[in-house]
Amino acid sequence: MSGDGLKKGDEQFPEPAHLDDAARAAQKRRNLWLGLALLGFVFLVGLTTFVRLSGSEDNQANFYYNMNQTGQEEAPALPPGMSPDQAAPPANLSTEPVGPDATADEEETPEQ
Amino acid sequence: MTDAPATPQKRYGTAGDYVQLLKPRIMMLVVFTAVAGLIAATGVTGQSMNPVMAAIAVLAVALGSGAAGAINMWYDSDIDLVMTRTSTRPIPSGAVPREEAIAMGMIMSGVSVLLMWLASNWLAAGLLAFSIFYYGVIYTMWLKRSTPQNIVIGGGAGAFPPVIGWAAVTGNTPLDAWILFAITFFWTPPHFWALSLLAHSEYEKAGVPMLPVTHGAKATRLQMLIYTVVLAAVSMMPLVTGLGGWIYGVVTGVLNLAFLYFAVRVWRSHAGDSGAPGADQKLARSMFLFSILYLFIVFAALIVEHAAGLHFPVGGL
Repeated sequence: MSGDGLKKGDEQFPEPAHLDDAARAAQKRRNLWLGLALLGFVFLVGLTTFVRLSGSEDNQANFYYNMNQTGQEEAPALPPGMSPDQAAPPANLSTEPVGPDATADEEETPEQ
Repeated sequence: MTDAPATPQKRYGTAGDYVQLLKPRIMMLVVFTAVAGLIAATGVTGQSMNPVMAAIAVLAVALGSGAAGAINMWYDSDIDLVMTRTSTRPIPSGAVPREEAIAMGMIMSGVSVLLMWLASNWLAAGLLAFSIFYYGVIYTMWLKRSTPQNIVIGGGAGAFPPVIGWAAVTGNTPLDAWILFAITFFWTPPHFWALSLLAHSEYEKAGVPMLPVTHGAKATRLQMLIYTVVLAAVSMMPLVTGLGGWIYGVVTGVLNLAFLYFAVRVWRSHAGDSGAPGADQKLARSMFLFSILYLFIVFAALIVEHAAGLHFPVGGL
């Protein structure tokens, strides 16, 4: 302000607009409608997100994940000429899940 | 005591004024044709859309239509003030400031496209964005004031909704979707020129180069007949592709005969000429009203066939 040649305390602020009753009522109505419109928009965005996420659980929308019905990733396509039997793991190889949980179960059994 | 000149009382916009800004009558037609595209796509392809998402997609089309209407009213407020028919619109009547109208149009455009994208896919959202741009910029700001073909080319904007509805369901736009586009596209000139025959002096006053203003009423009546003949042919194309079945064929066939009857009678009349008999003017008005009914019933026939399981194809490519 001082750079513009005004001393401290000389700042001129514009007079606030004085609205008559009708203008104030109209402004209130507009604000109400704007608020409702914003609320509606937020609701719709939330609704689309909810529907898409619900759909992705059933593998309907594939919004965030590309999963099959069991929740596991789709197996890649077999090379040409290979049958599903040939692609299957050997019979002596366990198909039980292997991981920290499985190990924990096995360790708990002898203690009981 | 002399009466003081009446000073217009300052008017504040009501919710109704803001609704008027969105051109609700056009919005109804736009929404209806979009729903028809959506339902026809489901019927033809077997692909379906979550009902909630479909409802939001339709709402997005309605908002997009309203946004385009607000942009149109913002830009055309100067000529709306000159024409009697449009002088009571919210901006020329002083109910809604121009800045508010354009702000509303721009915000609603963004919201509608975003909602469409969230509810369906980027193709439908892109088509919606383009149709708003087509109406708000290409038609309103460029074509309307520069060429007598404004209605013909600009009609493309109003023809997009069924394609958008189709794209929302399937994510693509096959030939059937573009046939629905073509029906609305070729319907627009005879529909709008019937109205402009009645109001050509208003358009002349506002400096808008509508066909009756630049080429006269006789040339306009001939063009209306030509476009009606083309429309009759195009509207039968769904029978060839299998999009429309027996019900659609019979209903649209009868409607085409009636539309052609109106077009021939208007062509032979003096509607739009200076000093034309009232009966001729009334005929042009009847054709205008009938054309609205025509589009509603044609698309309703498609909806009934595909939504109620009454689709019995005549042919099919």
